[in-house]
Amino acid sequence: MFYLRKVVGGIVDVVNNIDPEQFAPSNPPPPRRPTVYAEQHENDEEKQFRRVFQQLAGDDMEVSPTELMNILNRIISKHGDLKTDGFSIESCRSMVAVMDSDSTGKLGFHEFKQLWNNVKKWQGVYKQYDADRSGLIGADELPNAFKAAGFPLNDQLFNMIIRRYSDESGNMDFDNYIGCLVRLDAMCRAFQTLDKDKNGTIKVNVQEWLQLTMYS
Amino acid sequence: MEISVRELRTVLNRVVSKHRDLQTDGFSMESCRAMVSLMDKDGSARLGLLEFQILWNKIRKWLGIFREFDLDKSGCMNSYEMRLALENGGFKLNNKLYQMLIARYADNEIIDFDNFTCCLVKLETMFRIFQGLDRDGTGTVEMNLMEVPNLVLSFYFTAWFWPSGLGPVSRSHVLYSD
Repeated sequence: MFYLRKVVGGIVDVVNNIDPEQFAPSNPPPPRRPTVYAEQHENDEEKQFRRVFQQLAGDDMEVSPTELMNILNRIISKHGDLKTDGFSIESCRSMVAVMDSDSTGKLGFHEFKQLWNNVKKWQGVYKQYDADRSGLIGADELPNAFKAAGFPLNDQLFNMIIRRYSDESGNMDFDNYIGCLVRLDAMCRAFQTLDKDKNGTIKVNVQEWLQLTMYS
Repeated sequence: MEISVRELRTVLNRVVSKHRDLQTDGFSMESCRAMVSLMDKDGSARLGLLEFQILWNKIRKWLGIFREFDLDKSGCMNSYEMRLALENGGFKLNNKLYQMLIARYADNEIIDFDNFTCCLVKLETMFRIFQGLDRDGTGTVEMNLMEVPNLVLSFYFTAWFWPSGLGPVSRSHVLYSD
C-alpha cells in the first residue's frame, strides 16, 4: 500500500508544522427546529433563501444529488470567471452524502443551507486566489487558496491533493476545488465532534470508523 | 503495460454490457478512479498486470454475490438484498451503517452493479486502513485530530491490494455489530 504504508508507518511526518489554531473547518449545522418555529423567526434574507430552497427541493422538500448538480451547474454557467467542466453527479452524490447528517440521502433545509454558505465562501476564496485570472487554481496558487478556506496543510498534502484533483498541468478547476473542500471540511468536522473532551484526540471502534469514512 | 483509469472503465463497461441480467448505468470515472487508486501499489495511478488481475478476481467474486442475492432477479439490489449480500461478502455491519450505505450508493433505494462494486471496494479499503491503524488489535484506534486531513486525503491514494507487511487479511471480515 503505497501511501497507506507511509501514513501508518509515520514515515510521512506531515503534521509537525501545522498549527492547530489555524484549522478552521466550518461549524456543524444548527439543530433542526420545527418548520413553523423556524419560519416565524427568519429575517427577510433567510425567508428568500427558504423560498429558493423550496423551489429547488420540489415535492419531497429535500435536495437530491441531481437537483444539487443542476443548480450548481446553472450557477457556474453564469460565472465566466470560474473554469470548470461542470459538477458531475458522482461529485454531487458525494457532497450530499457528506452533508447528509440524517442519512436520508438528500439535503434538508439546514444541511443545504450550510453547504450553500460554504460554497459561497469558497467561491470567494477561489476568485481571490486565482491571481492570474485563469479561472483555474494553479499549483502555486493552491496552498494559499486552501489556507484561506481554513485548511493550512503542508506541501506533502498539497501534492497529494494536486495529484488527485488537478489536471496534467497541475491546475485545479472550480468543481474539483469545491468537491475537495466539501469533503475535507465535512470529515474534519465529523472527526472533531467525536472529541468530546476537546483534547485533540479521538478513539474510534470499527463501526464508528466506517460511519465516519464510508460516505466520502 | 499498465491500465489507466479510462481504460479500466472501457474494459469494465464492455464486460458488464455482455451480462444482460445486470442493471447498470455503467462504471463512472469516479468509481474507476477509486478502484485504480485503491489498487495502486506503486503510486503510478495505473494498474499493472498483477494489480489488475487481483481487481478482476475481486469483481468476479462480487458479481457472484450480487447475482446470488438478487433474489427477485431484478438486476439490482434493494436494501434487504444489499444487507444479505454485504453479510455474505464478509461484512457484518450495524443498522446505521446499512442505512448510510443505502443512502450513499442507491438511486431511489436501489443499488445497481457498478455502485455495488464501488461500495465494496471502499468498504474493504476502509476496513483495511482501520486494521492497519489498530496495531495491537484492540478493536479501537486512537488518533490525533491533526492526522485527520492527511488520513482523509490518503483514502484516495491507498491500495487495497494485500499489503505486504500487514499480512493477509483473515477470510471473514466480521465486524462487531451492536
